[in-house]
Amino acid sequence: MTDVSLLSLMFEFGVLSLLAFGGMTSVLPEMQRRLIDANGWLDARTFTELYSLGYALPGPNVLVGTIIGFHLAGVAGALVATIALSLPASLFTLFFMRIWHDFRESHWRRAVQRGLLPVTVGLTFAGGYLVIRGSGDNWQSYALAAATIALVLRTSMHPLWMIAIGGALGWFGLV
Amino acid sequence: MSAPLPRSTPTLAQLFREYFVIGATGFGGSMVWLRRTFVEKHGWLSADEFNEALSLCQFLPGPMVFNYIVIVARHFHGVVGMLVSSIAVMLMPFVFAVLVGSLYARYGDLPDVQGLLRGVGPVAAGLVLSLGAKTAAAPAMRNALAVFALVTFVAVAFFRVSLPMVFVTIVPLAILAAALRKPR
Repeated sequence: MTDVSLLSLMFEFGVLSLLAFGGMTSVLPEMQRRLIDANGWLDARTFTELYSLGYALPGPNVLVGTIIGFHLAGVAGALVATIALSLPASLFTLFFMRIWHDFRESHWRRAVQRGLLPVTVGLTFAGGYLVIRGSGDNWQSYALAAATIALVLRTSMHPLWMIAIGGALGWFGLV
Repeated sequence: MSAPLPRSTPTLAQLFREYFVIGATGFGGSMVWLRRTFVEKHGWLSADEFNEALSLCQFLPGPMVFNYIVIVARHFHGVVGMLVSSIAVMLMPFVFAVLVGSLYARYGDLPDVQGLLRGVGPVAAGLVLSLGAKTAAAPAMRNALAVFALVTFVAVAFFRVSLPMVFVTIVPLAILAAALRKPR
């Protein structure tokens, strides 16, 4: 367990909460940048492993923050990370619901929504790409990621099965 | 809001129970379960109310489930309902995360576990990427604005541009471009 102060953990995840337009996945590259590059709390491999574990667990994907918080500062860290990732955005939403009426039909709301969408898509792709890089920058990893995409888009297989298959392939040393 | 009021209102205990189940069982896509529970099973929200809440969730920052909880809270016991729902939805997942985190801390360096994790990483990445692919295929993306997806990807993935920087450079341009486009 790394020695990370709860206050700085709260700050980093709190910022991420307010930047997470389009949900937790669009903030994935920034999470990597802050935790790995800016603060040096995790290396790329550990980040990818924790991220995958958090992603594989049942529950809201804020869990990725919970498991990283736990890794960095124990149960208190898990609690701080979870609350810091959710509360600022929840308060923003609470406030936003008060002005939503006036904003709803405005031309600018549509523009904001339509302008943010492609940025969100770009961020999601960047996040996915950086997770593979952290996992092992080899052709097997890219092939497995590509196979997963094909399975998601072409079949209705449950994601948990894909994770189990990936784990088994790795266990047998094929990835 | 002009939408009709919910046909029935859950008690706090019901709210807790349903969110607890959704949290403990919802892998990634809790939204399907939210619809099933709130609209189809109990009729606590109309389909329109649910859809509006959902599109707002996608628009606002932060974890979607918590935004959903805040948005629908005015129907369901306000701030108290919000707190009860948030705790309920995170209770089991939090325990899972701490358990798995402990196992990782203890066994994460064993060669077999390392192998397993090497296989799980690309699958998680694939799941993230397929989410991006699904959004990219949406009708709202089939226009010139899609170029901002490419610009964002290159800037963030290869040049490691920070997200705040994206928000003061690419985002205003994208919004401006969207505003200037003639409405169809």
